Amino acid sequence: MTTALANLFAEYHESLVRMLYRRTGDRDQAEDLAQEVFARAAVAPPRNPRPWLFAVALNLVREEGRRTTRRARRLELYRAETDVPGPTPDDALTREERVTRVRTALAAIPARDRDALLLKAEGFSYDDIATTLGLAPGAVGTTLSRARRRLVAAYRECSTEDQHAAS
Amino acid sequence: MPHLDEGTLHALVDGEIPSSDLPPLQGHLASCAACRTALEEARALAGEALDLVESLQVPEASSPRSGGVPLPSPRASSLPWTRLAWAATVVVAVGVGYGVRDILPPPPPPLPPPPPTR
Repeated sequence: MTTALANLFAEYHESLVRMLYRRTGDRDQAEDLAQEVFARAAVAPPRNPRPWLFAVALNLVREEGRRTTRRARRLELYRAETDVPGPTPDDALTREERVTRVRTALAAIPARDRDALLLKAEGFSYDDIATTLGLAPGAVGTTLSRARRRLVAAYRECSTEDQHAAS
Repeated sequence: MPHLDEGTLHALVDGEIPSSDLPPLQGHLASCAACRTALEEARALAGEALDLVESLQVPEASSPRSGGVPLPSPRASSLPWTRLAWAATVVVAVGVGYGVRDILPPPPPPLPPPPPTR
């Protein structure tokens, strides 16, 4: 591994895996995709590494989208077969329930909104978000405002549905 | 000045408005209660959305990908029992061959050579 690539890895790997994990929900897949991203960076070292690395990562996620969708459908079918509705313990959310709802909410919003939120959570500036997602810099604020509203609304909807299912 | 749009409000919340562009926006906010309320709502929304995203923490690896659980080395797994078994097999095979040498009937004498043809 060259020094430049080692520096890229040290600086961005953790953030990249975190973003990919939030995007895919699969730690191993996130690690694999991150490895692929750095492998590509080794072949063609990017000039502006942060947006480049994350843009490649998001493209890889999209390339796997169809396969992931098939897996998700199978998982939903499995859940539908195995879920037994029952009373929820008290009214306190367990961490797992919250995570599941956040995942469902993230999956429910458009990919562009989701990607913008994930990049913002990694500390991206509006300029870097625009570069990574191919947006006009002036559109990032609008994209984020819409994405935030949609995410929170979808999360609340999940919570309401769960409460109805539990009652 | 018209009310601030959502994109501008969120850019303000995120500190993404260049300082040179701030004075007119601050002037409007000072005189517009609706935009101040909208700004606070945008701030709360941004915080709530970030909390939701950050609740997704990368779990610890359940099984390390490398160097965690060492695989037994082929050399270690083949010693000593596998080698001993092979040695015993060879010894038994040689011993049986030597033992049956005296039990089995002697081999038939070689056939006489065929008569010469004309």
